[in-house]
Amino acid sequence: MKIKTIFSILLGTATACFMPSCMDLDEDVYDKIQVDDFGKTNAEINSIIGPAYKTLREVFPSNFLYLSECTGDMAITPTRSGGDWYDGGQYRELHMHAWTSNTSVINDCWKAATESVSSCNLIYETVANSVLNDEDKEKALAEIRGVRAFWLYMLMDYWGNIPLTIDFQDTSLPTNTSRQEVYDFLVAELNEIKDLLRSDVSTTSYGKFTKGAAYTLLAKIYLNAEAWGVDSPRWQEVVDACDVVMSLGYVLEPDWKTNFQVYNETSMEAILAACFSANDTDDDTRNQLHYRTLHYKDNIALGASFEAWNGICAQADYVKLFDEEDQRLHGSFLLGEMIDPATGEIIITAHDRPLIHYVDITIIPGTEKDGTTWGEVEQEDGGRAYKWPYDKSTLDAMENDFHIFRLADVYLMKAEALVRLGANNSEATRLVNAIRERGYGNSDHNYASVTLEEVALERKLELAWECHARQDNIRFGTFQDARFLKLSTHGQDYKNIFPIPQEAWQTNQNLVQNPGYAAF
Amino acid sequence: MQRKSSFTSFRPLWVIFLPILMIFYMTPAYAQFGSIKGKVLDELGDPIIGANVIEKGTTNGTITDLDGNYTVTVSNPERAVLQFSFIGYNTIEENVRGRATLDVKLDPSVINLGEVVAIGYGTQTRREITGSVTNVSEENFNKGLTRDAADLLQGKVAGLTITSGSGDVTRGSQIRLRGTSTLQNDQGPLIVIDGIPGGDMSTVPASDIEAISVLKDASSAAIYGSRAAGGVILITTKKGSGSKTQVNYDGYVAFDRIANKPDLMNADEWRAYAAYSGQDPSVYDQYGADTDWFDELTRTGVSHSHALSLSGGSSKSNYRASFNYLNRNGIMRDNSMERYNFRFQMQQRALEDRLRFGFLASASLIDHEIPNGDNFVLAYSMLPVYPVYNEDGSYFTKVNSEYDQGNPVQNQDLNERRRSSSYFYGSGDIQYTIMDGLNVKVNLYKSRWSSEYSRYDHSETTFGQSNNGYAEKSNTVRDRNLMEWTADYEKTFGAGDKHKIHGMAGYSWEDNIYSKFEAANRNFLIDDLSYNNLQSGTGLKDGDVKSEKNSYKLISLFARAHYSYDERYMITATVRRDGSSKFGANHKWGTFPSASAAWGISQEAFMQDVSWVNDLKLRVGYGVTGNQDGLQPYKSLQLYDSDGTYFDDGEWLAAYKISQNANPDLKWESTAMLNIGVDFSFFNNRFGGTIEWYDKRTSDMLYTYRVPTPPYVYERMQANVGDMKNTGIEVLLNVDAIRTKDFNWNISLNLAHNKNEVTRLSSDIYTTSRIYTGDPWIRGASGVTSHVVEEGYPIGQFFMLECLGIDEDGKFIIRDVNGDGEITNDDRTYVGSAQPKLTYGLNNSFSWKQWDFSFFLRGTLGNKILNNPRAAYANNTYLIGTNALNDPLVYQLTESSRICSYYLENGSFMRLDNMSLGYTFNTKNIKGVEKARIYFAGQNLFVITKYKGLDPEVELFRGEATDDDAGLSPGIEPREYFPKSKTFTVGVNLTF
Repeated sequence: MKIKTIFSILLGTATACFMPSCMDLDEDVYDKIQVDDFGKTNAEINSIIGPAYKTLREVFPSNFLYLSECTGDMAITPTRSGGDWYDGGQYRELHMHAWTSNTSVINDCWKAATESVSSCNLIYETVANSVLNDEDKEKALAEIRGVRAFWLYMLMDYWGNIPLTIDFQDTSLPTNTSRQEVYDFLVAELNEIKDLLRSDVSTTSYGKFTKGAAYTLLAKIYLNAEAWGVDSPRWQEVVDACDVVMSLGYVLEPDWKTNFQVYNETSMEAILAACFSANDTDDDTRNQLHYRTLHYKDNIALGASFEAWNGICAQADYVKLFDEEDQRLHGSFLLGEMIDPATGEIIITAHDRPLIHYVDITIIPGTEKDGTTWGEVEQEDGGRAYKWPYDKSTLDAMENDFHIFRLADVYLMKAEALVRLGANNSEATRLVNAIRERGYGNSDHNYASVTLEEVALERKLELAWECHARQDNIRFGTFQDARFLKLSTHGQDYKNIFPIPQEAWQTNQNLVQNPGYAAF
Repeated sequence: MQRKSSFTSFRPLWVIFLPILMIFYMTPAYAQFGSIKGKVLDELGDPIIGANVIEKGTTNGTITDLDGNYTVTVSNPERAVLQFSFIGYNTIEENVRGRATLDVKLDPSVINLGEVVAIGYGTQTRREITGSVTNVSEENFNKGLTRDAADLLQGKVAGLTITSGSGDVTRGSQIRLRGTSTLQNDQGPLIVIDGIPGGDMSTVPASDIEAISVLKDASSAAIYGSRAAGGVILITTKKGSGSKTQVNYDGYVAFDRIANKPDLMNADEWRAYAAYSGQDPSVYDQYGADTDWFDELTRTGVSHSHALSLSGGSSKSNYRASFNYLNRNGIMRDNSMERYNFRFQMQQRALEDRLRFGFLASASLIDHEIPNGDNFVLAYSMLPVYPVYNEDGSYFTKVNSEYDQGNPVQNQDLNERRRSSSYFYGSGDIQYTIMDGLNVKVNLYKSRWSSEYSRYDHSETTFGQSNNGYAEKSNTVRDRNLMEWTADYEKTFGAGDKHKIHGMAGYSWEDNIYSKFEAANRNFLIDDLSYNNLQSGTGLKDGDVKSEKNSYKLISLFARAHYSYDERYMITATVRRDGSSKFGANHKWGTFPSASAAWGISQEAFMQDVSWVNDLKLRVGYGVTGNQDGLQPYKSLQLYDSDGTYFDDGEWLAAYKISQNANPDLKWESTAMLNIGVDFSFFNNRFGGTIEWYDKRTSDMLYTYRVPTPPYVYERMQANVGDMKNTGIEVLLNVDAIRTKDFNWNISLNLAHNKNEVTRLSSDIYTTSRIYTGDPWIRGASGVTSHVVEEGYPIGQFFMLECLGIDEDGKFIIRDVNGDGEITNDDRTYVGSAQPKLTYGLNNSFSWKQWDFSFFLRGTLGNKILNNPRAAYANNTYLIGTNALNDPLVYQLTESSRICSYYLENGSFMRLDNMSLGYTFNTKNIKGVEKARIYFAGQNLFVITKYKGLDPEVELFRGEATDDDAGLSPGIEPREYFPKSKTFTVGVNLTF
């Protein structure tokens, strides 16, 4: 065969190989959407905004429920007989204020909050550059800024000095912005958006960041400003912000339980809600409070078929604050004998003990761990979260929403500010009594006038399990008190904020550790 | 979005086909058939019966008869080269040069230097090889019940770790060559079946395999470029040969018994503990039962296999068809597999042998019955005083809804997990000899793997009750299209043909498409419909119906050049340029070069007088390979993905979000390896072997690293950051201890030492100092990790609280590393490695007249294992409501178990992996029967180890190889560990 022929074959092959289709390495994307192909219609933009609201599900019932209630005086995740829930000592560290920059819960909360801020930044940028008309866009952007402000407030409340990145295009590694600057930013940001937001209280505004939410958040920020050490007392501003909220269409629900029932989106008291569905299958953000708190065999007594994990329960001293006549006692805690409906007898646990949820949590002698007084308690000890009724048909996820802000909290914030101002105690008393009367179902327990301690007590009675304990304890000066196994930590005020997690610092070494904690 | 169907890309190439076909008709003819005959003799001059005589480069050939005679017809006696081979002898090649009679004499050797070994895109004789290639052929395969190539190779190749850390017959082996080489879903070596890269071992039954080559160093693997960082395993299947039609039948029956089961408390032991601890057992102990739950779950598994093949051909063609059936029943009552393999292969030559067509079709149909490991957790926990059945014969279900409790026998009986998969592939190639030594070849290949998974959790069982029945069905399809063009040129020249050059160049294009459909439902009124009527459930949730699809392309250009002079100086260079669609726009292409050289010292003049040295060769090679297999497609792109639903105005609406931190800079991970080796054969070829040293360095390691939020949206991101190093030494020794006419004893020993170290985890952009990994999980230890990946430490580094012992009060003495008086996570420390210091295999084979006997030992030295079942169950803290191991710790320990170094145990072991005894019948006088052999084999007969758990050989990872962090926490015996079996096999081989 001729050389020419050979040559032409080789050349032909080579040419063929360099034809575009043979060297084309563009990806054919089938099951996802390239970023440039999406967000062209209002409906698509709405579907992009949706995940900003889904971030609110990070608050409850895992991360911040633990970080707030278990470091404060409300709840505890005790180590159960056999070792369940010791989990490397992280819950001991929360209760005993022995946390470090490696405590898992703190790291998980930081991750959830910072990811949420970044998500909002990304969604803000997407919507800002979208096809929405100017009016819709302004409203939508204000809502996203509102959710972001909530997360920055959470970060600032829990960690003080935090990365304040609000521009998605800013890819620099942030350092900590001081608590003071974050506070100033939030006040300005909320004042900028508060009147851009919708003010209606309706099924369409439920689950959204509304004017009511912005003012409630503003009230919270003013209320805690002094405790945070970022401002002089701003009690009048708290009163003013609460007044705006109370002037909107919110109603203190006559039936307290309306706020917690399975389909509690009907509550006219809800101001900011994390919406859950029993159909949720998202990995980390389902409402699984039933798993977390109930005993392995409580389902039998409750007539349900889910299999719980026997974790978080109420601190005994907290439960003991409740009056037996107050419907909020048994409306907040599952207590007492758990009866098997089939036999009518008390259920026996796998530890050969009757399943009775005692208020008291008792360390079993000899089980103390790791050189501390923290030990194991009986599996059935402690009152369980029973505020949100468990639907018998609940399997893996609960339908009940979580109201991050609700009107009762606003009532009590205003009352507190008034008492602290020393002005208009009768209005403060009216507000506290409104809450109290609903709780008891009668006016027999009303106050004639209220003190700060009584406002603080009412907050505990009304707001158990709702992620207020730590913040309230700090504001009322009781966070460092000795309680249960925890010794007094007065003089260690640096523990009012948490350490920046080690893992966060590993990826961003511009972060500086908070004062009082070992520097990175 | 979707651009075009994949096959349009083939179209331009068909245009090239036509001119080639036309050229065939222009070629002049020069045929001159001739037959050659002769005798093949051994070193003593005695005839060798059954030696192979093959025309080189073809499958045309024959075997010698009882007197060592052969006759073979070749098309061109002037140019033909005959290869003569026989087990235990060096293969030799003879140029026919027109001779009609050709007698040869073969020399025995423990290492067959003339053996033709598959290398990437070609073959070489062992003498010519410059890289590190280990070839294992049929006679050295593992005996007994073998499912695939991994079973045949286990323990045979120094540096190739094949772990079958589970008795589950539906689980494949986990393979690592020369250590872990990446953080990102290490896929192990690339599997190449008959030249087609990216194959699946399960499609080739053991009886169809002729030889397996392992390309160990980068200089030999680099021709496979981007997928070769984990090494390459080349599987060569059997072909039909010569004019002789052969029918082969291999069949066996095997019996599996549980090798070791957990020693749990029986009823009396449990009662004794209840009495000791003063607890009242009456609530539990009311059934008069003494149940051994592991016994209830297990059985003697009976398996059988039948392999039938037909092969033959003429001087122009050859074919082989095979059928293989395997029915394997595991020791668990809900574990089995049934497999049908069909394979057909033929080659036809035309145009005076210048044109060759090859066709291959393969079909594998596999049914798996997948066990549920959670049943073992139940078997550990269920009390011995609970019965399996109530008095009325119904299942005992009283404790089914309690934590870690439930009737596992009922689960086995009523719940189902099945996978039915089919794997079809076919390929066709056309090779044309343009002129002597110059061949071009095109190869087209298409495969489809589809798998249907079905699951039902019965509403009365532990697993199904909370959903009131749960059914799931999914279907996965993987398609692959491959086209390859290669040109190959070989020439010898100079005085005595001492110079030899060999060049090869090629182009390949491949497209991979993956799609999956999945549906689940809950809340079924009746269980009878199982997973066959999903619509009858009324518990559909968000995300219960899902589908997904993705694809990626890989395009490559590659070349190899080899030069050798007188088998004395040899040099090879390869280069491959690979492009993968998975990477960022600016980094799609990577170049992977290699070079290697060998010096045949024994061929030098000055060595001619050293008579005890038969062969001595020094090899040095260096090359770079890549990794992209562990990387999912689309990771470089900014994409929207659905994010479930969100609540809006009383409705749940679809939400969409950016699904990942896109990394447009995503690029190739590369692994560079330097390899130095010596091959030797001494003392009349009775002592031979190989010693190798290597240094392997992976850089720009792909992994989903932690990144800061903000600025990133997600705390994890796929990126190229870290570096890793593996260095090691491998030794292979073969000794013909006894070599006589009737009795032979051969010893083969391989040893490997590998040292792995993560050398870097940060770059200019990303910083990571530690990756905590490993999730052993016992009660009360959620989130407690067992391993760390950290600079300066190996993969498999255990990092946990260090236990110094148990004190008089029965408490752990934990070392307070930071001395702050409390034990926290900050006190975790480095407590050992799961990586062995040495792995070894030792084979002894004997033959005496018609008897053959062999036994094979393999093991490891110097590795640690976390005995997690002991951590979980060797304590009294959940007694008496939950059972515990019958272990002294139950009485000794007074605190709850924890994950700490107390449960880290020495994992060194020696296993009698395989022992076989065979007898080959004298078939001289049985007409039509060529060979008949019966054998008995035993596998996993005993293990010598100090390890207190079930078995010191555990899986590198649980779950799938694609799971995050798979392989980063080796050395854990999980609670769900599926016990291994001892296997006894009786089988026959018949050849007609």
